[in-house]
Amino acid sequence: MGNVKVALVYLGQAREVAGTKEEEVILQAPAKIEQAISQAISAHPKLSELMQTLKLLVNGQWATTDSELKDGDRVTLLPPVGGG
Amino acid sequence: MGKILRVNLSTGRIATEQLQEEVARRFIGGRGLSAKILFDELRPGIDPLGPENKLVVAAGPLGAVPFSGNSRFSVCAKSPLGMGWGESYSGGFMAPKIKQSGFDAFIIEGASKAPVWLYVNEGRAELRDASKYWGKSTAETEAEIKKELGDTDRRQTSVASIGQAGEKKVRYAAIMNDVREAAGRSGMGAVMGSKNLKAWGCKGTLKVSVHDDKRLREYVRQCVTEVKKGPYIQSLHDYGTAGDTDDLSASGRLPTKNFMRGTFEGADKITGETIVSSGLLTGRDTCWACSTNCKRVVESKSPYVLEKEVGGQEYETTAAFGSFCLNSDMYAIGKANQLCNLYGLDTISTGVVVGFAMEAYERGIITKEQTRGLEIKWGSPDAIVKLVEMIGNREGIGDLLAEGVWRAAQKLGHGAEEFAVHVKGREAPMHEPRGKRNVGLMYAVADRGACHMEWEHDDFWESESYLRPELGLVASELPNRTLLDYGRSKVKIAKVQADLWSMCDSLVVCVFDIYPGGGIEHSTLLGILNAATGWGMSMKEYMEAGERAINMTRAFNAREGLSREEDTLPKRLMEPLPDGAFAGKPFGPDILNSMLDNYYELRGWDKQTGLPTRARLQSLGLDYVADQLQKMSVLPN
Repeated sequence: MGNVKVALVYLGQAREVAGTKEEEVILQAPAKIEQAISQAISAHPKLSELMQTLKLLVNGQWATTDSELKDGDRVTLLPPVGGG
Repeated sequence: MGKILRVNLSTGRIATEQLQEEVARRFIGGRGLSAKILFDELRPGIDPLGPENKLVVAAGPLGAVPFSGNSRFSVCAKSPLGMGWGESYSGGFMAPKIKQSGFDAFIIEGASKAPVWLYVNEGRAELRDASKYWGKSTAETEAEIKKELGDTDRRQTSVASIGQAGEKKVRYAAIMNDVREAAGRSGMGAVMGSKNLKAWGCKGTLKVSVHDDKRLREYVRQCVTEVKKGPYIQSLHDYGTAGDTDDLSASGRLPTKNFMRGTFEGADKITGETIVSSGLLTGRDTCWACSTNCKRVVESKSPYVLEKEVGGQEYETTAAFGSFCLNSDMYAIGKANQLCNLYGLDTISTGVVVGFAMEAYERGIITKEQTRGLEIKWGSPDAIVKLVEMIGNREGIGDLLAEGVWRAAQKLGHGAEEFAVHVKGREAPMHEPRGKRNVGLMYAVADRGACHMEWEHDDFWESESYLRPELGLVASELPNRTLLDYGRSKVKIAKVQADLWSMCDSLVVCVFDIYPGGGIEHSTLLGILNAATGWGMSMKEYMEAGERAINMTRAFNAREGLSREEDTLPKRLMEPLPDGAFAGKPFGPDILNSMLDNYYELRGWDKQTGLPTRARLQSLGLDYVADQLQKMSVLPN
């Protein structure tokens, strides 16, 4: 059991709230997305207001909060993307 | 009630007609009024590029009421690009000028023998010689018309014109107003060109009378508060509509390589944020009364010269000339965009046509001889720019491509139809149905042909945040939390949303500022409408007016011979994507048919034909429409 280093990628509104496009978080193994999200919300509390509308991807594939993470994974927080 | 200006270009006769309140309330327009006029006055089967076609330009009943998003006008006619109904919308400063020049709408009919332009000023109108402007770009035309009028302020007159593309009847020619704004889709610029109408200009400061000015001001103030709550507003201001480009690629839904892929490795090089951080963006611009400022101002001296007055690329343009053609050069995208604005071309259709041509070239269906030596390889910035010029001038292969992918593919043969991405003849916009099922349904059923603006996209219905029980959007009907859901609940969301957005197109307001993408609620819009007109309309009547307009455009197409068979998706969009988050998940005919059945049923339309029944038309007060369809034997039994 060691640490898992993952990248959090913020898109759209999530990027505006986080003030950055990407940041690294270190989680204790075994790690799930919910732990990464929890760290993100601690760093950027306003993200919690968006959570209901965000979808999650790990390495470009759909994921849920209980999906497991491994070292080097990229977790994307994706807000609704509409027409126009 | 407002007035309609009727201009017959064949005879030169100009007349003013009073808009009847009973008609104005049931057929709200924008879309509603235009659909009634064109259904009533056009004979089915006419040549859309002949003098029998009519162009209806409308500012809607709220024109010149100053709230964010109320800056749009509509242009409708039988489409020379599609198979029937054509409609297009534009922003800028024209809509309030139409109203302040004395009119709610113009009906332009016939065809002039020589080029003319229409000048509307303080309730009067005249046709002026435009032969000296023929052959000129939209920007040159606008500048010279303003010079002819002796304007000293650039906002004194709002001018809408066609460029060389409209004159040469490129089937997806746009009408450009205020230089950088486009009524781009459906080929309305070609209709103008066929009538020898080079431009119209509106000037005026007439006060628009309203029923309850105090109440209206209260609702307008409410809009100021509500619009700020829109989830997109800050991003639209900061990065423009192209701000989502890399988000779409990240989620596997960025149309790439003629819809062969859903991700593009160059997305971050062309996205709205890069346009800002690179310094290409030198300013932000706006439409009338709008606080969002989503319009881009770009400037560059090399590798392509980009002029700040001619407009910066929006999302559709970024994707169409970018990922769609495998091009990650944002300067080339900017150049293609500005050339489209100057020639007067729809950037969506033009980009799709260029991508189609690149695939045809790769497959050997278009040869180097046909391109006169031009290498139109995927991702070539210079080839994209050159092709836009050739299309705008109908030069060389550009003459064939000016017909749009549907007709060009038929002429080319050799399997080109397999990768011509259109619905009802209109090129698909830059949204990926295989990652948004309701967008696929929208492409299929839109009467104007493939369209991304009939209702808000699937992403919004992934949570309860955007539900509105008073509008019929309730939690119990929330679809499964998956973008791939295509069940009845998902389709119901689409149907309810379509009625609401049909009202946006009827009031002619910008959906970026209106719920759910924007913050202004429909109850507020209804309040504005009632304060302006004194109608005392309920939300039920409001939504019914939106639905009536949809039934009118469907009836228009029914008379042109369209039915369920044309409510389909191109083969390319039914194939599974090879990459991204939606890889291996096709949008097969079984899925589409299930969605269509539900959609027709929810609309009260006949499932076999996809057409409105007599009962449905009668319930909307459209008995005469049912009679007409019956007379033509297209009313379902």
